[in-house]
Amino acid sequence: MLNGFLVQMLDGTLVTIELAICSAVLGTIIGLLGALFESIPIPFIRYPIMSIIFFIRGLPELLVLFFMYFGVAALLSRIFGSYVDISPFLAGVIALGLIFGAYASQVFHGAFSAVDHGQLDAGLAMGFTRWQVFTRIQIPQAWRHAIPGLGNLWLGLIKDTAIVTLIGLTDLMTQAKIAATATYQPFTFYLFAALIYLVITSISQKIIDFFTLRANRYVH
Amino acid sequence: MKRLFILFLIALLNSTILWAGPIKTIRFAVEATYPPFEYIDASGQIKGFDIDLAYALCARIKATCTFTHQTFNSLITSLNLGKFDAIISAISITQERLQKVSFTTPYYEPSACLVAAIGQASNIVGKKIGVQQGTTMEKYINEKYGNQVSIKTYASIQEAFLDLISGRVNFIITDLPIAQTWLKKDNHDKHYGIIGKPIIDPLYFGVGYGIAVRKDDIELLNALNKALAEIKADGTYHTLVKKYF
Repeated sequence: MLNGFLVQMLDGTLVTIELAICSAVLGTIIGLLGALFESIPIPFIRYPIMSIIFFIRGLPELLVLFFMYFGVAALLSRIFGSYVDISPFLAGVIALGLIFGAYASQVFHGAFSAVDHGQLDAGLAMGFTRWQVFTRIQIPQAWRHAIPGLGNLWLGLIKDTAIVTLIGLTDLMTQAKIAATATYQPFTFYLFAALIYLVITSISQKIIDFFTLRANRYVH
Repeated sequence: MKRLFILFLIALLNSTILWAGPIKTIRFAVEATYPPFEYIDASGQIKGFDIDLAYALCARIKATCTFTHQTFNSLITSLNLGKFDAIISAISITQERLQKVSFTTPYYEPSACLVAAIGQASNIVGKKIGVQQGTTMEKYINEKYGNQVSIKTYASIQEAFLDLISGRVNFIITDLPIAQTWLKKDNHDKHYGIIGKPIIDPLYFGVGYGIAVRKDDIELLNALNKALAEIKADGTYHTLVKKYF
């Protein structure tokens, strides 16, 4: 099937999924930290973080990726005096994670703002510690508001992974291109790649729906 | 804390130190969508004339070869960064590139050509031309005909061929062996052909394809040049040329 390129296409799919998951995990951590720092009322912390987020959101993904792959490698090599390699996968994860995180911080920021401040005061008045208020009152409710936004970001991320083709990582898109070149059958392989992306996003949507229902089960 | 962070960084990025001494491995980079020079087959292996040539050279040097796939217009940048040791990717030796990297003696002398639908007049003025990014052909067409034609650039030459079929470009300018390989596939030669004579212009297309290495890597350059001379002398090289062209 597919002139023997099936295994390679599946290999590429695996790389795409790994890349998306690693970037999303890193991005979620960056997003949470970003949202946290942005809500600290100290100007010296708040404004630098806000401007970094503003900066990353304003740059094309491709530029961030090239900066990570070429720029940072050159910078580190200069600092350490010998060549420091940044693998395409690592550069991809950091670049996509940063972008995901920059957007996610806004999602989290909005989600935490959506939990009424009165609930925090009420919690504290009831004798909850600050940590208990955070984990038992803020997070479960903020989560509900964050899911739709995060779901969108995840779907966007899966498709954004295709740009790593340009730094030589053999993801699904690269494999499709390679197979198309070797067999001179572009439509077969690009269509097949499109189908795989569609399968990944469809399954993702099902999982997002599940979490949305679960997070909202108290609401209705 | 800062020190810990730096240690963490070092652990995270697998740092490689450039070693002096006998050459044990040579990391080659190719842009593997350029058959017959380099392509990836159904088993995921990078194959082609350049690859077989590199293996023959490595056998002479008694080093092991590895190959990675990269986009064409970032090959030289990545080489100078140290992401690999050499480029063998149908890359022409030109004055401009010689300022950034060193080249071995040429191992193949190609000429450029125009591909278009059969019956197309060979005058390209006012037409749409497809060309691969970062190639010598791109520079040639830009400087010679920049104002008279409209140029479309592609990351891979195969995308340019696709646009030729769909009619978005009238001509493609590429290396002769690449055009010939494409024409032979899927009966493309029924509708398309090489228009006019092959274009030979050493000012733009250089003196042939060479293997590019970093300027300070004189040891590798000498080893490759020596091996190249040896395989040309003992007939290995001619067997390879016969196999592919």
